[in-house]
Amino acid sequence: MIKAALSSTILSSAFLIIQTTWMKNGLVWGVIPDFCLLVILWVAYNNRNSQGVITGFFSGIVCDFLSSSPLGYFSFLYIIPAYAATFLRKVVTMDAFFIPVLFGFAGTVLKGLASIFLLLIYGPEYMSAYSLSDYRFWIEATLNGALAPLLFFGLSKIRRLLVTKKVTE
Amino acid sequence: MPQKKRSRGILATQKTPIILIAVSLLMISISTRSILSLPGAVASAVTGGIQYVFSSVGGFVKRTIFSISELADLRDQYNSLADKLKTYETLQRNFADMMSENARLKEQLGFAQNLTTIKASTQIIAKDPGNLYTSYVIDKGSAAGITKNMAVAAFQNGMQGLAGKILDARSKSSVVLPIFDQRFFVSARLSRTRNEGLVNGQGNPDDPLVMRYVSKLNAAEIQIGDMVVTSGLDSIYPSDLAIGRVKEIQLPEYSSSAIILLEPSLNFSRLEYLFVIQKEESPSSPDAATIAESPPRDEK
Repeated sequence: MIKAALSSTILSSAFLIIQTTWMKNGLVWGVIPDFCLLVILWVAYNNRNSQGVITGFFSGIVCDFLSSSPLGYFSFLYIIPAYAATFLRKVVTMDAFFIPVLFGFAGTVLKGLASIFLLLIYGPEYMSAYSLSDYRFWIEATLNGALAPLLFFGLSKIRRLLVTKKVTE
Repeated sequence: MPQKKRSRGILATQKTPIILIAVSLLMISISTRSILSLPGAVASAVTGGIQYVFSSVGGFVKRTIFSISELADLRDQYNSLADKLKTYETLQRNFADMMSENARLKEQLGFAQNLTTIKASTQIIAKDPGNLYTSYVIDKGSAAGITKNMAVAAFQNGMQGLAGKILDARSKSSVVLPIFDQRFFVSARLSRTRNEGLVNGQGNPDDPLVMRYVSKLNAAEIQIGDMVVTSGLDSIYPSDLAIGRVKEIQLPEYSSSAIILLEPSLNFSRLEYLFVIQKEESPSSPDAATIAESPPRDEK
């Protein structure tokens, strides 16, 4: 489990670096898709226990270091969708297209709601949050949904690195 | 045995996620130094949320009912604005003449002296990983003499404009907090009327900057399109760096000061190179001796 959690954290962190550099000007109307979130969702769905949540926590810490956000902010934002994805593995069967799209879109919405929750608690002087009336938020959700099938397909090819043996067997 | 497992409570089965969520919230509380005010903040967030919902519903009903009478007011406002527009057209004709005259006078009086020094010319190498926070990473850091809170400017369309400030200086790179971030504040002044105020961003490069604390009495002199520059009154930013132009003037009933919305001077989507600048006091300034004797404000 440690090996899989470590490799999934490294992979999601690599995607974070890509988001900050190669995709710094955004993909559509300046909006950057959240590949890191998609990796976390995939890991959370495909692993038992709390591996997705652990990956979300550590990837969030890396994201906090890369961002000007307060430490712990993105950890919280990534834990919540990961937690939901861990639950969903019991009720949803993954397919090639529709479920990944749903995961990418719903995961972004959950991330947005988590950011609003933090804004309500800590206040705007410390926190930024998604605005549900902002078109950029919905573009990000749509982008994440659209890119999820492709990324999930790619991740399934390196499944043995990211999923603990107990589940795959 | 499996039946026993199922009967365990949520705290026992979901230990790891709950612990990690708690750790995240604790880290946020520590890093924002808001841990002491957290219980109060939670309570006020809940009550504030309820108040907001009630206020929104009330506001919606009120706006709908009064929108008819507002139409009549709008017609009166339209007529008065048409008169004002004629005055502004005359003013605009005089503007070009005044600009050239001003440039000549500045040259004669020696006001063109540049009070800032460029510390480093840098390139943006990365931006924030998500769409929530806005920060730029530049390719020079403390090794190039950059320190926290230095002003950052950019040249665009032949104009030097304020881009932000250094949030964190690492050895080979630095993090820049851009002017449109909602945590950014700068003391500013209207270039024409010399009224002072405080400018801050709204978190998005497409949204206008907000200038506050300009008295409503003085707001009458302000015109759409007026340039707002740094006042130089704080210890970070040099004076007369362009910030933006007046886009809209709001006069809220609840406040004695106006809210002025500004169109940023810089187009942040096209920003590529930035200049880290250091405020430098003019040696010829009459206050220079006094400043030299007093302790620097940053040491507080």
